[in-house]
Amino acid sequence: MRRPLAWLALAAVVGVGVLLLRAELMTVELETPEGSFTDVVVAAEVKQEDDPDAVREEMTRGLVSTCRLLVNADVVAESFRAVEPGVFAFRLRPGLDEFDVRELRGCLSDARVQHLLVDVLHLQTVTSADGVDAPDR
Amino acid sequence: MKKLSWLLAVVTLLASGGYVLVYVYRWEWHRAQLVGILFLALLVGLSAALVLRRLGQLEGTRRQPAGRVPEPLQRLRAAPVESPPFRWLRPEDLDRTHIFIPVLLGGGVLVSGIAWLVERLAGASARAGVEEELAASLRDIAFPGEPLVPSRAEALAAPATTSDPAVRLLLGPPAAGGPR
Repeated sequence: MRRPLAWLALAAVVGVGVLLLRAELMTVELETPEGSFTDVVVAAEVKQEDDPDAVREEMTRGLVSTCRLLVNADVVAESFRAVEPGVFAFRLRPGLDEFDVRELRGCLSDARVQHLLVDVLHLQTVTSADGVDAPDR
Repeated sequence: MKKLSWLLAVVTLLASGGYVLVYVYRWEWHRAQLVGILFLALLVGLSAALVLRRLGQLEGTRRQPAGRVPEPLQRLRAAPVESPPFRWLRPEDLDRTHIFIPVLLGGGVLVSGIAWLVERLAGASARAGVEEELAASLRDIAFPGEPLVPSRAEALAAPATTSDPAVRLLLGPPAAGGPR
């Protein structure tokens, strides 16, 4: 009698978990306000023996180009720059909603490019309602 | 060592399964795929190891060492343990459902005995009444006490002694007094 109850409880837990995961992973298109943008700062690390600094920016640019297609946003021209050695910042327009922010963070942190590890340090969407009107760098 | 290997495999299996969910939640699909492959490989490996271990146990129990007589103590330990009889009559089991079946069987035997007794009594009482009734019915059609056909001497002495026309018809012309 205990074993079927245990299986039933396990099935219920799995069912609830799948439903929660489905709710979390559901992508919903949200209207982004006019003039909004998203600032991103990432730290890139290249696992390569010979001259990693030379390819780090290029590999990071390639990864950003891939991931911005995923969230359907453009990198603002000339906004990609190296803040520190191994740390890069860029701006995306239009601004990303909360679902796209999660997708972009996952795409950048994912092991998508061999020998490249990217850690997202800052990812924030700024709208005109926030009272910030930063010029594109 | 073997237990440690099993423990390590199970922990790795659980961790990889959990990380699949974590990476999917974080939208890191490549990592999720890699950990998912590890999870599947561990699952297949553990399942195969479980099956092989079970097969090994079965083979070990089946195979007896050739030419070696087991010790009496080993025989005793290998003998199946006698199960307690009438387990269903234990006090702690009286409220369980399996007490129902013996009670049902016992009740069936009891009811069959009562039915057999009733049938025997009914048969005995009915047989006496039926026989008496049959005897009364047969008495009406019983043969008369005197013979139906007169003896030769009676026929010669008195050709038509009987007055019953049916008897006279049965006796034929001599009895009826007709010409021979």
